[in-house]
Amino acid sequence: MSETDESVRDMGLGRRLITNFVIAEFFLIAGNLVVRMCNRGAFLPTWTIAIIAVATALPMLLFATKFFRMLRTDLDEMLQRVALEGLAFAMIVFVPLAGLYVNARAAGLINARLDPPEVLLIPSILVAMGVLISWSRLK
Amino acid sequence: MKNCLAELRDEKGWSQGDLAEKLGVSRQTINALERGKYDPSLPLAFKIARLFKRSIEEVFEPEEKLGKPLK
Repeated sequence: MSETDESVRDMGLGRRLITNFVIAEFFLIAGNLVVRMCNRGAFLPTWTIAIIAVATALPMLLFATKFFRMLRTDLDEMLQRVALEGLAFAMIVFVPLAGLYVNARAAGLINARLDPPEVLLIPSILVAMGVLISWSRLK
Repeated sequence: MKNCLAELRDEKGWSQGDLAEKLGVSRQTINALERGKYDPSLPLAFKIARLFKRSIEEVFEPEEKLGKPLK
């Protein structure tokens, strides 16, 4: 396999992963919005809303399984390290920030309320940032 | 850690992609190894040394001198 073929395969893997993630995230957020609209309008029975809530979370579950499999089998040791450093960065930044937000809100210092779209997007953005930081060090 | 991976690869006339395929890693990993940006795991270092029929010490060399020798 030539250098170009190899690069194209690696790029294809990354692109496919990002596309799958964006689709899964879209379903999750759209599902959340639909459920909230249905709850407000009360025009769907509870069991239908429950099905929508679960069904729209399934793509993300599939993505997580695929990502885990890719991490264990498709990536070599350096790319595994990049992915794991990205996840670690997200954890290191998100957990203290979430703790600070919860306490500051309880103390009345912050009035802003984080909605599910933000809560769902922040960790993934942080993972992407962590991966970029780790990748730039090794490039 | 310094290494002479690029020289060894050139001697064989292999591209980074060829070496990556022989070692079962990505081309990016070979690139990072050659630039000294990434230190391989012990199994990968052994694999590299075996592929070029050299000892690990002949391929990899620590950048700084190690401290006191172990007793």
